[in-house]
This record gives sequence, structure tokens and C-alpha cells, in this order.
Amino acid sequence: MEIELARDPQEPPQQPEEAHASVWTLLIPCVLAWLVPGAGHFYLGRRRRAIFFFVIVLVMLTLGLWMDGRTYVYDRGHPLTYLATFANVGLGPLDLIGRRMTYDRLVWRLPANRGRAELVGKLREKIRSPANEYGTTYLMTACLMNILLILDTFDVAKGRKEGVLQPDAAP
Amino acid sequence: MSHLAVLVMFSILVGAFFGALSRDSLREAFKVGLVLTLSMIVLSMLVAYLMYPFPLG
Repeated sequence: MEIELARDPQEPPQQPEEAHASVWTLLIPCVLAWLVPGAGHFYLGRRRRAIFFFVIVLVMLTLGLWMDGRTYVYDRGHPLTYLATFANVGLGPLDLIGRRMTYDRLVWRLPANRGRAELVGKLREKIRSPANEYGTTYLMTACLMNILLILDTFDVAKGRKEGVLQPDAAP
Repeated sequence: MSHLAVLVMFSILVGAFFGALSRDSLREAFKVGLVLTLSMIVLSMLVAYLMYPFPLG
């Protein structure tokens, strides 16, 4: 007599098994995702989705810079600037463009004395722009999107999401 | 650029991003993106009107 091993309808659906991935198979896509928005997904075979993410983040960043958005520098006197600067750095090398456009040089820390006045002057110039708040929000959102993409890449590489290493049907 | 245009553009981009991030099929992603976009626009307008009676200064 053959016994059918059917799944109990009351039983919750099984989660996809996590792939036993080595450190490198997790690290490489995450680093790629940090370097170029969507590159991690591209590496993992989700190519159309990767291009879509790249375009979205790039459009967000471009609009933010166009609207005089500014990147953050950390200041010991204002602890929240550490979080904002970390978020900016999450955009990878594209963050350098934002820094260059905000401060005319690559800087991540507001100096305590020498050079502080010049940097604050540059910041004031940006803040005086009527669209600065909007631009900064767009810019910050682009950075946070890329951080989410890095985390999503990790999940895909780990095997927590379906469609790992297979071309997807989504955008 | 008008405030409304900035809001609509932001909502579309964020809605599209989260739609694609959270769903696998194109149809589902589009649906989630649309709901998110419209929710953001409508809720923002609602909050703006609720804040209207408050003084600016």
C-alpha cells in the first residue's frame, strides 16, 4: 500500500533553505553592491532588477544634487551627524561626488579649529538655497536605498530569498 | 520646481524602489509600488492640510 506524504494544509509554508555560503560568496556581492548600486544583484543573476535599482538610485542622487542637496560631515558636538555621515558613506564611491559638490573637496569630519570656518561657510551657502532641504532628503534617501540594497544582496546570497542565482521575472 | 512636483517625484521613486525590492513578480511589484506611491502622496497632503491652521512662526 502506497502512503501519500502530503503536506498538512494547516502547516505553515516552509521557508527556503539557507544556502551554506562561504564568507567570500557573501562578501563579494555585498562589496559590489556598496561600490555600485545594484551591482550585487547583477552579480547574483538578478540583472533586470539590478539595472532598475541602479537607475532609481542614480536618478534620486542626481535630483538631490541638482536641488542643492548636501552631504553630511561628522561633528563631535552633534552625535547625530555620525549616523547621517554613515548613511552617506553607504552610497559608496558615488558619495564622493556629493562631497565634492558640497565642500569642493573630499571631507568627512568637521575640523575642530583650522579649516572649520571655510567648511561652515560652504555649508551655509548650500543651506541658503531654497531647495536645499528637498535636495538633502533626496540625497539621503539615495544613500539609505543603497544600504537596503546591500542588505537585500546579503539575503539573496545567503539563500533567504527565492530566485537565487537565477534570472528573475521582475523589473 | 513646485513642492507638489518634488513630493510626487519622490513618492514615485520610493514606491517603485520598494515595490521591486519586496516582490518578485512584475505585476505584484507594480501593485505594491502604486499603493505606496499613492499612500505617500495622499497622506502627505492630509498632514499638510492638518497643519494648515498652525502658525508658521
